[in-house]
Amino acid sequence: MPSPILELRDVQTHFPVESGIIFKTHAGTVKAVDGVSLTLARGEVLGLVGESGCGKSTLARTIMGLLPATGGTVWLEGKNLTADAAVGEARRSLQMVFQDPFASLNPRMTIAETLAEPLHVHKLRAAAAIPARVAELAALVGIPARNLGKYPHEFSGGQRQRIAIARALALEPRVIVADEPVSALDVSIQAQILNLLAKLVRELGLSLVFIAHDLSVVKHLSDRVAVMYLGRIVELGTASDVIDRPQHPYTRALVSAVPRPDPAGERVRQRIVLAGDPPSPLNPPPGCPFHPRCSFATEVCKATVPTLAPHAGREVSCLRIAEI
Amino acid sequence: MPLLDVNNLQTSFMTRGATFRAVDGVSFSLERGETLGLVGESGSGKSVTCTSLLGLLPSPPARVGGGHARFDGVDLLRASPAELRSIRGKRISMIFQDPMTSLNPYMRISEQLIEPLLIHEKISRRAALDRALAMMEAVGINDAANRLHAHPHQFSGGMRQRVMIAMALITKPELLIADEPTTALDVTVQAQILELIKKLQRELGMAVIFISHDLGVVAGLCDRVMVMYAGRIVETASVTDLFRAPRHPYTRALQRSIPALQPKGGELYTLPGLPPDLSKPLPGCAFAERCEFAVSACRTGDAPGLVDCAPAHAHTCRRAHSGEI
Repeated sequence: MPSPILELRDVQTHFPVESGIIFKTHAGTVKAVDGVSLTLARGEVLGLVGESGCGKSTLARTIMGLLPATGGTVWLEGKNLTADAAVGEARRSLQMVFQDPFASLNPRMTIAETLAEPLHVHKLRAAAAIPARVAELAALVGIPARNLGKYPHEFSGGQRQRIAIARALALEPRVIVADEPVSALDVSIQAQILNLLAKLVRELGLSLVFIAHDLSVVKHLSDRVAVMYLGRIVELGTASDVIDRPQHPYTRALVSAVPRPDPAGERVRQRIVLAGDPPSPLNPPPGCPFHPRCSFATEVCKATVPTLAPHAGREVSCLRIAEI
Repeated sequence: MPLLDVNNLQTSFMTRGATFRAVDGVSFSLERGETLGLVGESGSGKSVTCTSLLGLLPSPPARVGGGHARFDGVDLLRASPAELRSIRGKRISMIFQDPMTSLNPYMRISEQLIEPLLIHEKISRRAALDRALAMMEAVGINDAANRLHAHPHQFSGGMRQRVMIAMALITKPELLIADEPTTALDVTVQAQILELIKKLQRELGMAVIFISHDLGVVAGLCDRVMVMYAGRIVETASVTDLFRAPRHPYTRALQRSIPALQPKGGELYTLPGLPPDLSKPLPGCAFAERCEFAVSACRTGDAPGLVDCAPAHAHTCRRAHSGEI
């Protein structure tokens, strides 16, 4: 197997919770990401799915170094990003696209300035060569060069997301982390952005960590899918295995909850409706974090924490997977 | 007689220097117990259609006019404020999209839940609280007795949306308007809420107008669907016909652009361009600029109206009607 471009080893992101106004006391720990190990191959798209609060965005920010990992290591092309020293250069290879293109672009900068800024910061091009590179980036994502002098408010949501993608591409990254890049967009615009991401992966050989809550979108774009629940990965495998033939009880419920645009099928389909909301990561249940909502849970699930183990061509973290 | 009969609804927003025709000649009717889906992109006029009917738009800038909107014989567009108040919240209620901002953060859940009862019915506080508790249990809030007097911030998004539903249904309305009630929620919670709306609809026999941009949600819930584009209805059909045999190029384009209906990894169809500027006159078909089948005749004349192409299936595309596409 070729060495992965990005590797996460037992990454943890814990947040301390304090109470009191003057005399702060330690009241607990939110384990937003609690021991995630993942690899990303060159040119691969890894989908990351789960409910709100499961830690997908925290994991994305931890990979990016926007949040400090409280445990474990993140390796990018053999360099340890979680070690303190001299990672600035390495971080250039790792860029992020955010969910809301209305909030992630500076409203006071023109598109040309926005796209040029990373080039100035990293001194990657001579000043004279920057306009040509900016035009090239705009062309790559389908923004006409005549629009480069405009400000973000003059663009629609889909065009802004293109600009945000162009900015992420400015430093010629090897890996892009896209956190819900299409969730804020209408379906017809969403299709444009999905096509663009697929084209960039194909033509530039990028690797992509793609976070979304829409399973059909994730399946469409991803090679492999990781399902997160309460800060841990509960199932990891190829997109068609995980989404068409889910194994973990949580993945089964998640897939079953997705409404399908098929009126006849929808009316006869038996849905697994999960009771209640996901538990709070501040006070996770003992044993398997999913056991309070799991219809297969037994006494053993309340006491033992499961780990990812191979099952049916993918990895699943469930103690009873062989029996259910 | 249908429960709701809307004819040629027109809603414009007057701003300095421009008039935006957000809803431009929408007509439909709804039978008792029926579920009608309203789909379309942001800005297509779905929500404005419903808020216009309920008189919830501030005027100015909004101006609601046109034909009529008869709810059980009462024209909602011409009803006096008092008449409208006696219907709104009692016989027609609405669930809004964002559960985080639709509840009053200062008021206890119990007070917000019983408010419509105290306004619309002769009922004691104690009896109203009993109904509120029963409703909280009906929408699946665990430990309802203890949570009844909580404040909204103590509830999660899914629970707040359940409270919104409980509030909308506590007066046993004949018509429920649900404006993207699950868009802000996770799929697992969405599945719970949709099951709940279906169950309560069966029990109460109410009609539902369900606004959504998610074709999957509409497929599972609705009897009939209307597709809106640029303030007009471009296609209406039973949910089965709409998914099996969409006729209007816009409906077809929407279906081709969602990944769930396409083979994995393939190129998705994308609509070129953007929705039109509703403040400018649009000769002919509003969708012509983005339509792969448009010819010059599509861009002239009056806006095409809905014409039947099969029983209970109508659309506005002249070229599809003449069999050219």
